[in-house]
Amino acid sequence: MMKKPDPDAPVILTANRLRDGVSVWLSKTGGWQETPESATTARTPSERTELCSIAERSVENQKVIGPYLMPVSGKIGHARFVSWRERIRAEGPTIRLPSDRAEIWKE
Amino acid sequence: MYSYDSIDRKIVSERIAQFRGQVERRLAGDLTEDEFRPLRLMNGLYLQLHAYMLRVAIPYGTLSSKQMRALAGISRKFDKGYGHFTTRQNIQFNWPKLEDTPDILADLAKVDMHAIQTSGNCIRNITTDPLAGVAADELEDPRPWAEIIRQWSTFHPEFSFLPRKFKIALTGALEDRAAIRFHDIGLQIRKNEEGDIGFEVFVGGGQGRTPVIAKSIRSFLPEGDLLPYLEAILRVYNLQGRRDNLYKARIKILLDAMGPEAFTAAVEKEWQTTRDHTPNLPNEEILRIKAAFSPPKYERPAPSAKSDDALRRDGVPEGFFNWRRWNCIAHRERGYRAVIISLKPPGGIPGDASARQMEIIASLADSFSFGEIRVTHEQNLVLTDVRELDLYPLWKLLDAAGLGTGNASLATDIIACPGLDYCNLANARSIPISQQISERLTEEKLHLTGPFSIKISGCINACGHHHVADIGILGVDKKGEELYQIMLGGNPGNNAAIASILGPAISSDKVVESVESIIDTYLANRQTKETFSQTLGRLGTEIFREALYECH
Repeated sequence: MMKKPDPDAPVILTANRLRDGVSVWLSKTGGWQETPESATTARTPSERTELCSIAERSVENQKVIGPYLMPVSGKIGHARFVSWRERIRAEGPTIRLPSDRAEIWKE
Repeated sequence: MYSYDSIDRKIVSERIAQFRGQVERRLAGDLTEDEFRPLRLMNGLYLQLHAYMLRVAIPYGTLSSKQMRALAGISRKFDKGYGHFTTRQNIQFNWPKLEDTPDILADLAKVDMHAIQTSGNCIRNITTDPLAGVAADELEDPRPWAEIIRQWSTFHPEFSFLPRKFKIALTGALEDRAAIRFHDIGLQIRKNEEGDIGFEVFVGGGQGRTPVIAKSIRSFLPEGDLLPYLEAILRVYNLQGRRDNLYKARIKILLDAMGPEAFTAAVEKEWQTTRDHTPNLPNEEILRIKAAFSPPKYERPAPSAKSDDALRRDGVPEGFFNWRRWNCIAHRERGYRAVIISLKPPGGIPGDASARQMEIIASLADSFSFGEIRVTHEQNLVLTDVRELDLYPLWKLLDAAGLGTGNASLATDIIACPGLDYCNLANARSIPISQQISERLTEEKLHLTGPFSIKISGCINACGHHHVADIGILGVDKKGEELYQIMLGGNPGNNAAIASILGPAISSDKVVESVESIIDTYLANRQTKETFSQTLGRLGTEIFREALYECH
């Protein structure tokens, strides 16, 4: 079931890719991409309905799981995200991963 | 440690073949996500914020060096080169692909590991004292009983679809290092007046949104009756637990609703009715499993370590002595210590270890500790059997690998859940708060403060154990902003207590100075050798509340 966002907020469509679980966003060209930068934005009820239809088809075709409409602010950069959750989901953990630090451990 | 027999291996290999087929059917579209989700969860595979997450079971937190190397290998081959040791004594990989998961499970099976009982409404991985078998204050080694419960509970047909997940912890020591009073069932090994071994049985503890301290429902259960009695408890829960409401489905809610007396009476009645019909473990099987946990061949007498004066003359740095003070624990065998390997360096991620570090730890376990490693619920590792003579050479090697931090039980030995950096359920980040605190508190202050616990959860589910810390920190979301509630006075051990919230949540940029302010208030007001909880009990919360909100 898709969560229903604020009906007045612009939204983009996001999900996780079935094969590897990676977060993906529906791009303006209709494909699923690993960044929200070129995501297609729905601003009207009919545009939202269209995104929901695409989400259902992508689920049926085993491309993605857990799709939902993600509100965005209409601004650019970090300001685009209306919550920390969505920003972190798009940009990755805010911490350096341990394997990145391996060089300091005298391998 | 216990080694799989042919039955264990058959069970695991059949399970992998089954899951491989399920993944293939899912990718081919023959299973929907709704159909597949419970199947992947039964194999420890969750979907998190950025990717799938695989939780691997480490039964009662015990690993061989060979298993540790296999975990390192899996993290390199299938993940991003690190693993996260959890508060359930398990390990999680944060970036596996669904299509790789059957191969990961096959690699785990090669070293007798799996991801069974790490998710779902079943009896989860059994946890125990990380010092089991070596603790100086231990009555009896709880690991054979943990293994017996593991074997009994794995795929138990009656208890595979409980109202909710079910956690069992046990300890054989005087000091509870397994938080048994915060589990669905907690077992404390006791000896009765006749000298027989048995268990005190605690039921209905837990953390999460409704923290509860377990009630003792039986002061002494003969060891031979353990499995029938556990079955009686689970049967009462299975029949009467709330399946209609996810938030009221744990046994703690049932026990509270029935009342401890009525609940206990129901369990005792069930036990008396069924105990003669419940298959129990033959004594020879108990002895077989106990034999698997025989002590290693200690050197007797163990060679003496150099005196501190001699070590200092040799130029041994103070860092070693600090580390030895906090991280080396009394051992039942003369001349040996249990060594806690801190996974909490300043600015580090609690519980994380890189593949290289895991391999180094495996090698050190082989060289210094009979090839065995334990995982603690504080998200550290333990080498249980190190000669005192070897402590300095061991520390040098650990330190070179970023693993020589001497802060076990100190304020930077922080428990933190993955939080919003990884977790789909989280409301706020935990790890960056932990990193900031561990960078802020100086060594001088840590040593002055002494044992002190800080625990951080990114949501009300309390995976970071914030209810049972001297300072508990709970992340909350307020209109997209991360705020943190500060609470004081929790305790996971013998004097179990649930922390109390000090007041309104504070912003993330105020947490670190607030924590330091609370510690400073404690240092300024404590009496000689008074612990934080004792000072808090004597002075009350107001003085700490003032210290907290003065920062704002």
